[in-house]
Amino acid sequence: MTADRFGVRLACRRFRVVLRLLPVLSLFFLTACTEGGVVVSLRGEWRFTPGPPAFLVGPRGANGGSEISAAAESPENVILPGDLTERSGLAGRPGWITLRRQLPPEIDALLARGVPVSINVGQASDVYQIYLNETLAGGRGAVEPYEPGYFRTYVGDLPASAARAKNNTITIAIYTNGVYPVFVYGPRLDVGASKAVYATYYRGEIFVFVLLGIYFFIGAYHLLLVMRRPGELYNLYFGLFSIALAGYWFFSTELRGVVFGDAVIFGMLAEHLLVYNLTPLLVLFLSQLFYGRHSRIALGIAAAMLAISLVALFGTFAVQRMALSVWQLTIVPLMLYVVFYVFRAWRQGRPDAGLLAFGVLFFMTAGLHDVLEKTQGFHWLAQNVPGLPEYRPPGTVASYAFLLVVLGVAGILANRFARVHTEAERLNVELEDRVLERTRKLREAQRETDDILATVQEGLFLLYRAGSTPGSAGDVERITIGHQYSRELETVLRGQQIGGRDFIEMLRPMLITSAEGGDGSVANAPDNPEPDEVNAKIDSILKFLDLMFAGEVSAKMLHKVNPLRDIRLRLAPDVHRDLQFRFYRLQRDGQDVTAGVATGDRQLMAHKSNDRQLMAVVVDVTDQKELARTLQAEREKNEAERARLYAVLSADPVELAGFIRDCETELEQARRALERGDRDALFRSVHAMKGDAGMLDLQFFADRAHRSENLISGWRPELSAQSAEIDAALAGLAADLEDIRGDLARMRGFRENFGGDGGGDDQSGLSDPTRLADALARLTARMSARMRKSARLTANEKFLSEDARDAYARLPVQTRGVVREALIQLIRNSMAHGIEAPEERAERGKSREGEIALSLQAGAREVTIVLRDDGRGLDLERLRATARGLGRWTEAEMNAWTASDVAGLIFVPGLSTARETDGDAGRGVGMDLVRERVRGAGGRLEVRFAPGRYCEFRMRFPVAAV
Amino acid sequence: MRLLIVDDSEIIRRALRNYLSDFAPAHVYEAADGVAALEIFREFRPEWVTLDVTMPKMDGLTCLKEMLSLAPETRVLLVTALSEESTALTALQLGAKAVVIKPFSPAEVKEAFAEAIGQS
Repeated sequence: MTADRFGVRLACRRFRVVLRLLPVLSLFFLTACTEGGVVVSLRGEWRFTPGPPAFLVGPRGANGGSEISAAAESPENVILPGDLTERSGLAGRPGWITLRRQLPPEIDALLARGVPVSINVGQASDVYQIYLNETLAGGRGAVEPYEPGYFRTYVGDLPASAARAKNNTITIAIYTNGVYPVFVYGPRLDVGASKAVYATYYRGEIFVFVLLGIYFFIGAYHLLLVMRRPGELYNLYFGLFSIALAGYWFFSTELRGVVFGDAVIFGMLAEHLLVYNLTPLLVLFLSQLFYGRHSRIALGIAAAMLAISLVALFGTFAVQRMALSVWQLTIVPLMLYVVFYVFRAWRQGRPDAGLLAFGVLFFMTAGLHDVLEKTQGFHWLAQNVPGLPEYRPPGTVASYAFLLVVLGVAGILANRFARVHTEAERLNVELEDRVLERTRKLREAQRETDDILATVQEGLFLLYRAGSTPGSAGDVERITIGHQYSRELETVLRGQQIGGRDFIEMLRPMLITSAEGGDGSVANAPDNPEPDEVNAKIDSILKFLDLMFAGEVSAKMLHKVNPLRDIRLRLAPDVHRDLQFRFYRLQRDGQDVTAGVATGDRQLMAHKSNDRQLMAVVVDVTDQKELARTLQAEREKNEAERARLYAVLSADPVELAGFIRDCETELEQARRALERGDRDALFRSVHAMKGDAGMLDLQFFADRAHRSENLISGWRPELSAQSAEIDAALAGLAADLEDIRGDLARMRGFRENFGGDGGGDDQSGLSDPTRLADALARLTARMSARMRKSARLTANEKFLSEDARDAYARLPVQTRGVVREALIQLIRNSMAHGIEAPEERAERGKSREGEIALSLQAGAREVTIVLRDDGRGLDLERLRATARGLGRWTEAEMNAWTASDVAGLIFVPGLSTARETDGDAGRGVGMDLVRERVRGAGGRLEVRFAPGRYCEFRMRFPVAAV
Repeated sequence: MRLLIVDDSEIIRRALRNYLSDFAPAHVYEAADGVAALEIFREFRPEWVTLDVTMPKMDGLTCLKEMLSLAPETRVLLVTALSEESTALTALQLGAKAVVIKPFSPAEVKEAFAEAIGQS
């Protein structure tokens, strides 16, 4: 398939971008793996003692705290980095704990050599101090006055003066205010040559910022993509997921302290909220990606996480800790679920699931690597499996693997977007090629004909005016063709012995009326020559020739109004040709001309020797015209096809499917109305189709419906020719519909390949009031632009709420169709009659932009949909005047009408106050249609208005009690 | 020379006023229908007139006849649609000097007007 080839090519182009990122990534691996000197990790066992360090609680007293005393308990071991809240035994009260361990011998060696040695404690909790032996090296935060050093990294030098030759001890003393958890968080816990320790620290920070930047960029890109293609929600969730990842990495940077400062709890809360929502976003993303919908479990997970988030947000600190523990319990099952979900999708053959499954495996491998690294698993393996060489891991790799997975997913999404895009592009190119091919063929044919035409001579002849008795009233002067003319004239005019004939009398039987159209199909034309039209034409020709002979007006000017400039004549009963006559004035004195003129002509001229003669040139351009007409028709056809494809491609497939279904029903009704000669019903059906097409932006279809309307409005059922014409117009609409269906099927075909919108027969176009309001807002915007007015549609909150959806869902599907159709018509009416032009509104002290408000009231037994515009209301005087014009009521009857009677006129068939029939209003059929349909669905339609202020329509529908 | 522009469409009037400013009329009057046009014509006797054919109250041909009976030397440019070919020919017979066919380009109007006032 060519489509696949295109897709692959574009996909390659996208992946090339990812490839370009690879050098950057490898740079990270390098920086992460190479160390610039001795660095030793202090991860592992530390000795734990409650209370401050013993050397501070000597006989000289404590370092500030009154209740501080050295602990008597024997020291125990703890693993760092880790959470020490439980072990500290300080829950609820302030106090100290002490952590100690000996420095490794290689560091002792460095100290002994006088090499500067530094320590990186990473992020540790609250106030903490670092001691080398018994000398303070530094720390974070302060006890008196209390200032937390929470999550602040300490990187600093160890005082060389305090170093011993060997067995140096490092001590971390941690003070807690009894509220915050106690821990040494990492991620690094290093000691070593200053140069290397600092390098490692800054490299780590830079790495995190780059990672954060990449995630943020990916997130922002996909969020932008959502705006472009709002139907593809997976972009939204993936974007949010990436942004959340960026946030997650932000919290492991030193910048965290800068941003949150002393608001430690708040910072922690923000971090937790972010982390809680990672999994739900991932699951939502996957369900949208694979199935194009929100899976129930995904929504459940999202709800659960939202609940945890809310509890954490509004709970006390203790509650927050609890929420965290609950979340920690969910991680493993959730991750297993994700793995299961991806693999199940893979097995079901969902698009892209295979790649994602690979990504998951890849990440899991990296995770296993890290677990083995942390637990010394590689060392254990090397010792227990004979022959296995020991593998020394470069550090943790999961974060890199995860980055690659996320980049891969971004690639998959980009590829998917590109494929949809390419398919549309390909369809267009294909069409373009067809157009070009056809145009080329026609051009060729035209050139051939041009060649033929060039060799054909023109018909040349002279015209004389020979008045019988000049000046006598009512007498027409004869205009005679000269005896000398070119041979070609006989060919062109299909006649012989042309010389000396009366030009006008020769033309008269050749003239055809516009009704005949010149196709020769009307056989009785000579018996019924439609004398009015023919006489009018003769009259014009005479006037023109008169002016030509008179010479007052320039020939160039007259050429523009030459009635024979371009004319179709019947030269023989079945021969119709397109001819072009051109006329030129000859010299007034006649000398130059008469020299070469035959004797008979000289005699003719003798009657009025001072009158001028005309030279006429006639050319047969039938073939040219025919070709031009065919070319034009082809062009129009291609144009229409292209317009249709674009319109269909950009429409929502679900709405489109509904549209086709609705139109089929209307067409069926229209055909029946045509058969029984019911013009109003026929008009209403076509009008309804036009409204629907307008709403979907299917302009070509709306145009065709509009042309059919024009036919129908002049229809007299007793004329069979007219009925046949209307039947053909309906067939045209049906054919268009068939084309749209074809396009839709093609489109659906390739959408399904990419797992886009799953079901096509979902009624969501009709069941979702938010989408309806959206579509109506677009309709309003489009009509505003078309009518040069300014208006927007607003829907009240209720209309967009979940309640509305329920209330709406209680209406039968047919009723919802009626509501949609009615709203379209009412909005058209508001735009045509209600909303004033911006200038007029400004004059009346209203905002320039009109407002059409859509609202919904849901009761137990009734659903009411209200549409209100702030336009000019109803113009009772004009309605009355129009009613008078109809002549259906007597003056006495009309005088007895109340204001509300007059307002009721808007529902009378055939009454319209809009001046022009422009397709949006003004046929007087809309309101009639609306009321009839609303009643047909068991509802009521009411109108309220205040002149100059507003007009409001209420549709009430009964519903079954809940 | 003074110019009277008669047309029921404001846009066409504005366009004509704009295009014909090249001929430097001393003053330009505008009228939206035949009756108003004649009033202005009687009072100010403009030498140049552009005249629309289809107008409310009084059509262009009647207006043309009136004007030329009052002042036969008036230079009239008739503005007409293509479908009004016969009317255009009648107007030329009545004494309009030139015709321009709607829709027109600025160049066409200027050319026809030059023809009408004998400057071509």
